[in-house]
Amino acid sequence: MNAASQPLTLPGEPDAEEGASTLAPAPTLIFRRDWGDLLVGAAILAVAAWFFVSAGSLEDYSGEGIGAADFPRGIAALLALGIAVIGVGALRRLAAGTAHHLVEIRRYGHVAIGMLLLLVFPWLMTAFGYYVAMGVWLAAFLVLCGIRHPLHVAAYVAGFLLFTKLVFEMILGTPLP
Amino acid sequence: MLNGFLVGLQSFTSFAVLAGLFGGVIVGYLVGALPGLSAGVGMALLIPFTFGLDPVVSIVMLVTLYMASEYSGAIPAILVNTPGEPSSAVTALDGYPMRMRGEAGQALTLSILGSAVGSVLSTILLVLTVNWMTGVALAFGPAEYFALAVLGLSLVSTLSGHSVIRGLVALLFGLLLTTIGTDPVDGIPRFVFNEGLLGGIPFISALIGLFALSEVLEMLETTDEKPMPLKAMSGVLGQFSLLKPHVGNMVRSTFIGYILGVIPGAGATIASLTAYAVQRRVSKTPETFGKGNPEGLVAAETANNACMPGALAPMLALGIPGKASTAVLVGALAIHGVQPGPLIFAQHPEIPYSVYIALLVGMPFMVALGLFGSRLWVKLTLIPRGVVAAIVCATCLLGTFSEANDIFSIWVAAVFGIVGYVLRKLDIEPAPIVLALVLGYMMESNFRRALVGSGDDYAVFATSPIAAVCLVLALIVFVLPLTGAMLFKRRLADTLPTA
Repeated sequence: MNAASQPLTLPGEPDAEEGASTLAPAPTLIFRRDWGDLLVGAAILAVAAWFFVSAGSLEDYSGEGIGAADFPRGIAALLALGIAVIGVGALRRLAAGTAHHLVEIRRYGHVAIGMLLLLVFPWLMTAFGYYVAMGVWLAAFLVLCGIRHPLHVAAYVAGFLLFTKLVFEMILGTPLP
Repeated sequence: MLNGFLVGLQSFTSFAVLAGLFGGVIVGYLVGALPGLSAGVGMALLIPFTFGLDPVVSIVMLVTLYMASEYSGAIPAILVNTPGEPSSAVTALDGYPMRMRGEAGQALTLSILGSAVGSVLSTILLVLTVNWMTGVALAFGPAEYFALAVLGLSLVSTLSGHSVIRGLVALLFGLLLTTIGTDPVDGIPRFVFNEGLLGGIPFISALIGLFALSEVLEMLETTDEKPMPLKAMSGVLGQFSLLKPHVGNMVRSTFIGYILGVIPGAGATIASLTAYAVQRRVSKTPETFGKGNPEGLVAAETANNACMPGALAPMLALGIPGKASTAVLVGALAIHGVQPGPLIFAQHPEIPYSVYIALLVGMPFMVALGLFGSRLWVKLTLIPRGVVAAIVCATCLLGTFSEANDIFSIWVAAVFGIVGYVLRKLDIEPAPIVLALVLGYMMESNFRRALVGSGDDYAVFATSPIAAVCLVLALIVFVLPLTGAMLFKRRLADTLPTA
């Protein structure tokens, strides 16, 4: 969660202040950051390995000096080293059961659907064009964000599409498919 | 310099530039006052609107947005104890207790005027120091530029978040991504698995994904948040004479803010926290800090806003963005074919001088808007987070498409949004990735050019005094955490969220 959005609590003051917001209980995914480190570390390691190996097939016009493949190879190796340091630390903490950070993902279902919607949008736009895709997509995203009243959803979608037409197409001259 | 100012002033006779200035300030207020949206996100969102605009209009709009958002984060921090920007968290420490004592007007007046003084004095320092820095930079060759890029990146990785190694991993990941596309020396394509990647990872799409879309995904966790209604608020406008006892504080905090702004990676949060700590040390009533002492409020706000012109100095003079927000500015200028660095003063003098003038001219407008519109800005915190998230997300997707009129760029933004969210959850900040995307090309090309020029002699990095100093400093920055000397910095970072 963005720390900037969290109300500060001063010593001796109650947690909930006027104007501050409150969060109702919601399904929350909680896990040790170490597990995340290992999973994401493995993914980044795979990326680094791909770069390192692929660099081998690059042509080198620089002779004996630093060629096109050397810089990415060096960076990939350093990245792998950094990931290894994080991974070893995570493994040691997991094995020893020592103090650890927790990762909390509140409303993880909403976040997962949000990610899915992000990935679906370019496909929708390719298939149906901008206005239809954005209309459908924005309505779905608003509902996901808790805006359920049909009139409100329709008003926001219409307002955004109108804004797009006026600002992007008519003023800035951006052609939209 | 005078000629430069005349060229800059000439730009300000254009209606478009003035409209850009006012538009930037207003959008900056909106972005800064909305908790969860940072200056970087606001600038990333605004960039698509600048594609068709003149470069001067674009940069004026973005710089004034940056300036206004750095201030307006203080309004919700003081009135509802919810900092709009991470750096405003320090402002809330004394601002909110003042508001609870019924001194909202005094707190807001002090914050906006302190910000104005910090920003104006810092802009003067910027004008005075940039020319000197540019003179030095003109003597730079590939070895010096490479060393400078390494130094900049080393500082950023150290100060980005709570863990040095996580910052480094983010940095290296970003550097690896910059190797995608056409090789800077030999011109051969590298790691291009899609035609859209020939020119490298689309910077604006990656930026929007890492900053804005990852932020939207975080907002999805709390879109059910219901802000509680505000109670009636006492008079907002205070007396300008309130500033009189704080003159020394403001001057001191301006210097702290400016210097920490110039240092790549330091940022407004560190600046405001440092100025706050210094003021507490010199204050006659240190025990009242955190309980509504106006000195703390003025120190934090002055330093916070003085930091911003400081951050522009290395960007304009050396072409090195020390922060994510200035990286966005570099990207925005690159879209218009303008490369920041020492040559910008000869090739595009209207850009840096318009920036100076925008900072000075935009300030009175910002002060007026801050004092008279504070009730409106604080109401922004009452907009449902769900609406903000959805509209920001839709604007991001539209913006990424309009950058290249290519659906591939939307894919890039979406993927980077998800990657950015996952990394944030693991305390790996996206800022080093963005800075690496800006500096990576410069780093590699200068490294290789330096070696080509020296006949593959690595001593070229040691025989140049500037390069050697920069590399030694970078090494110290890397080694410091291991020796425990970084404890102070870590404590600072642990106290408050990073900028």
